[in-house]
Formats: sequence, C-alpha cells, structure tokens
Amino acid sequence: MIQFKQWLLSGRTWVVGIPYLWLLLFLILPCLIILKLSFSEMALSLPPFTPLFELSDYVMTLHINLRNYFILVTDPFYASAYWNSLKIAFFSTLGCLIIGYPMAYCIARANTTLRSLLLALVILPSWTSFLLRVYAWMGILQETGYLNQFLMKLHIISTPIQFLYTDFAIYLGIIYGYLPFMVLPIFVSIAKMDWLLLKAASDLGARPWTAFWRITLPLTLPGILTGSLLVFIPAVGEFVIPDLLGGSGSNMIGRVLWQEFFNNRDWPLSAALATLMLLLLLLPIYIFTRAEKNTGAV
Amino acid sequence: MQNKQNDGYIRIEKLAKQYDRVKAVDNVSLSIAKGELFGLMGSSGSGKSTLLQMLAGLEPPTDGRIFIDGEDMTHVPPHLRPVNMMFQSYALFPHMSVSQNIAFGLEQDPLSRIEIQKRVDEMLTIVSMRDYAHEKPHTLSGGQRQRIALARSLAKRPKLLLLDEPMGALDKNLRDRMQLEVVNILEELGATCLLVTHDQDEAMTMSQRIGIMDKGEIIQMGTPKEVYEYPNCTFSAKFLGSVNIFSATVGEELAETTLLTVPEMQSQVQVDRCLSLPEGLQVWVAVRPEKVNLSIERPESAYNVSSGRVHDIAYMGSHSVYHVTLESGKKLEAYVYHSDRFIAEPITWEDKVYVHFPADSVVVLQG
Repeated sequence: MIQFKQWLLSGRTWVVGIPYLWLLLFLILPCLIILKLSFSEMALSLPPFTPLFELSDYVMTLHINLRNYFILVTDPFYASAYWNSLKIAFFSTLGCLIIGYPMAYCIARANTTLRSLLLALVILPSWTSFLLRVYAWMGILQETGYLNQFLMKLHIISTPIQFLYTDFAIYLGIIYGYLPFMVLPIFVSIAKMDWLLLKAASDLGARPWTAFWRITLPLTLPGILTGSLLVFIPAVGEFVIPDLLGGSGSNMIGRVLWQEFFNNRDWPLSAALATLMLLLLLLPIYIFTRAEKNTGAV
Repeated sequence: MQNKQNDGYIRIEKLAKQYDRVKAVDNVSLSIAKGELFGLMGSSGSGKSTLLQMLAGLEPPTDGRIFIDGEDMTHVPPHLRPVNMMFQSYALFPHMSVSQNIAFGLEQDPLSRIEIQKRVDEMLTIVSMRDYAHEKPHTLSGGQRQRIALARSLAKRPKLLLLDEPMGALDKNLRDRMQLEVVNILEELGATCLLVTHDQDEAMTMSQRIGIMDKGEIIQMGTPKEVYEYPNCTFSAKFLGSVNIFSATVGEELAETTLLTVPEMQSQVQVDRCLSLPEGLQVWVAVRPEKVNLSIERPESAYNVSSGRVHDIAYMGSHSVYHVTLESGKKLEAYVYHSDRFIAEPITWEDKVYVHFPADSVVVLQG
C-alpha cells in the first residue's frame, strides 16, 4: 500500500502518466465510442440511435447491427467515395512531393539568411485561417476570377474556363494547403545530410544525378516518408477543400461523412464510415512507419 | 623507402586559387613520381586542403595547370578524373554496407558485376576486413572505418590517391599502428599518393618526400631528413620539430669555417663550412635541441659555448627536455637521452650548466 502511495506521488508517474491519460481520454475513448456507435441503428430519437445494450426482464441483450457496414460495402456510392478519397490523397501527396522536394532542397542549400527567409515564407501563410485561404482560392478560380481575367487579358483564352468546382481545384487546394507539411520534414532531412558525402560520390566517379539517386534520395527518405504521411492522412479525410472547391460529382469521404451526419442525421452510418476510413488508413500508416524504421536505422 | 626517380607522373604547374581577396594557394609547382608518397604539411589555413580539393577537381583553380600521367586534368570534372580521395572524416555512405561502399566507385565504371565483386573482395582482403563486408559503417570502430575509407578510395586503382589528414580521427596508439599499415598497403599496390596533414609524425613516417606549406606557398620540399636537418628558413625549421634560434651577425670567414657573432651567447658561433655571405649580414642561427650538450664542467671548445641555469626539466621517458636560461636571459632547449637507467648525479633544477653544440650541427638561415 505504501509502495502504491509512493508510486502515485512520484513525479515520474505524473510526467509519464499525464500524456497517457490524455491519449486515453481524448483519443482511445472517442474511437471506442465511434466504434460502438457504428454497430447501432439509426432511430428517430434523442440521441438518434438505438442503444447497444438493452436490459428488460433481467435479460440483457446485445444488439450488434452490421447493416451499416453491409451498406458501405455493397453500395457503390460509398465505395467510389472511398476510392476517390484515396486517389485524390495519393496524387495530392505525389504533387506535394514533386513540388516540395526541390523547394526543400533549395532552402536547405541556401545560405543562412536566405534560408530563414525562405522558411518563413513557407510557414507564413499558415498564420492566416485555412478557411480564409480556401475562400481566396475561390476568388482566384471562379469564372470571373483573377486567373480567368489574367488568361483572357493575355489572349490565351477567349472564354472563361471552369476551374472552380472541378477535381483540378481540389488537387490545387490540397497541394497548396498541405505543401508546408511536406516541405518542412524534407528540409530537415536534407539540412541534416552531410554534403561531404556528395563530394565523395563525385570523387568516386558518380555523375550529379547518380549521386542524387544513390546518396541524397536514400538519405532523405525518412523526411519524404514523414512528409507524405503528414499530407496523405489528413488529405484522405479532407472535408473543407472538396466541399468548397470541388464539384458535386467528386465525392470524398469527408464530405459524405458530413452529409450523412448532418443532413441525413444517420449517426451510426457515419460512425461506420469513419471506422472503415480509419481501418483503411492503418495499412498505409503501417507501411510508412515500417519503411521509416528501416531507413531510420542509419 | 628509397627516393624514386622523379618522372613527373603528377605535375602541378603554377597552381593558384584566389578567394575574394585571399590567395589560398599561390603559384604552387610540384612534381610527384609514380609510386611516390608525398606529404604536404602546413598549419590550418596554409592552403593545403584547397590544393587537395583542386587536385580532386572539387574546386576549380584560378590559374595554373594539373597534369596526371601526361594528361591535362585542370578542367576535367571530378567524376572523370583518375583521382580518388580519402576524406578526413572518411565520408562513408551511412546507408550502404561496407562492400557496397567499396563497390560504389567501381559501379560508376563500365565493369561487369563479377569483376566488381572480385575487386571488392580483393580490397577487403588487402585491408583485412573480409568479415565485415555486410556491416554498416556506424557499427565499425574508428580504425576499421579508416580501412574501409582507404579501400574505397583505392578500389578504382586511381592514378593519384589523395589522403586528407588520414589519421586525424584516430587516437595516438591506433594512429602509430595505422600509419605503417596504410603505408604497407599503399606500397603493395604501388599507389601514387599526396598526403596532407598538419601532424609532422604522420608526414615523416609515411612520406618519402615532404613539403612545407605556408600562406599558400610551398616553402621547402625534400626528404624528411633533408627538411629536418637543412631547413631553408626559420619557418620551416620551427615547423618541423623543436629548434633553438638565435639572431646572429656574419663574422670572419676562415678556410673551412665561418664565425658568427651571437649576442645572446657568451662565445662566437662556429660553423663548419664557408657560408660565402658578406661580413656583417644579419642572419639566424638554428640548433636542434638534441644536438645541444649539457655539462657541469666548462667544455674545452672556444666556440659554441654559453653558460646558464636549468630552469625546468620535462621528463618524456626516452629523453628529458631541459629548459636552460642563458646568462643573456635567452631560453634554450636541450634533449638529454636516457640511454642509462641510472645516473649517480644527474643535472637537476637550478644547476649551473654549460651548453655546447658541435660546429656541424649549426644551421644558418637568412629568413
């Protein structure tokens, strides 16, 4: 008992315990609630779902409703939303990587003053509200927006092009919004790299491109993986960008979830949607972290 | 380690490198024979590393030419030069295994996989690291990493091997062992090497010829013995080993000897040769501490003698360094070698002693 008291009062327990308690209360518990919700049935009541456990006549019954999952798997609408989300997230991540890597490389190779300036420029936009920046893109992309006006002034086009409410706008929005999350981890891994290794590679007869493929890229892979994870995961569940910039045809899972929850008030189905999305994301997360562990062992 | 006939296998002609306002390398000309190990010494900032970078092609020279085996390499990019470098920090690729590191350079050449594997095995055998072929560099010790770096830089059989402070990252004991080991490997392969270091033991142990570099220029070149025994200026005398330097005036020139007046000594200094210098010229006289004799009794010689007091003694094991303060106040260093384990009455602190050095040990310097 005294030992337990000592353990409870020691600072170590508190320092280690508080984050765990936090995770339990605000991550694991909500996840379990959603999981529970996904097995119940929609009802016109308050709250709008049936309970999982029912006690009547001293008999406790457990209702596990699998219909939500059945719907998700069979109705092609949801399958296409999932597929669409993964596809958009994947190509957005690729886009962020293609734009972000050279950016990070240049920042890392710039001299100290220029480097801090460039880094500030990468981070600066996120000081404004994300929503506001998406609205700004709407202003740029709409039919009478700056982009169309500009292209028409240059006589490249004669009639405005539909930019807004297309998949292009979604890609643009996601890549724009998540680029810093790609640039920063890659920047860190490039800045950390020993430039002498490239000199050594060149001295051993490697052309600049060979040196990049065989030395720089493998050594900055941890940054690439972290950046990709930071872009891919939130992009899959992204709601604001497809809702504001995307057309009605392009359904992403975040948007479907919103509609099921708020418009149809089908909490159990949206809970099932969220659970399935989480499961779908676990696989790429697992692959990424494993790959990171392998490259991180350098 | 006999001196090889200098065939100008590596020829550096009037090489110069200018950074903004600083001349890092100034008009350096140097010729290295095939199979020779040339050691370039200098303190940091002397331009030795810049010279190395220019030879590797990592820095473009401002002026001058570099010839390797008769071919002009001055403007050839680094990956096309038959030159490989062993970096001071080794610069091993951390994500590759030992054999992948060694194979990297070979893979850049049109060689078959079998040939590459054969050469890698050969190199691993030479540096006796066969058992570590699949290890990653971070699991190896300092000496092992150094051997891998050496194997990697030798795998392509470069016409010129550059060694940048090769022992810099090793502790003293390992350094002494590795110096000879590296030299043996280099001689076995007949590699032509340019070694750059600030450490005189390293340069003298490993090289057949050495050069001393200061402020971008090579001020003296020769075998370690030549440079040590016959320095051509006070800088190179001080750079290599310890030395006692006195300012002097050229005096009378006799048949086979020259006398010099040294105000800080009680007698004139006699040199065993004709200097052919005008009388009254201001010069410096340099004597190595191991050539200075200490005695309690006054030596018979009329020249090269002065009295003083033992100010300090540093016991070094093989010898002791005596710091003697002469009557003039000038401090002088003398080595006394401990060839006998026990001496009844050794010279000790505060003893009045006479210093004397033979006429043939004196070096006269003009700058």
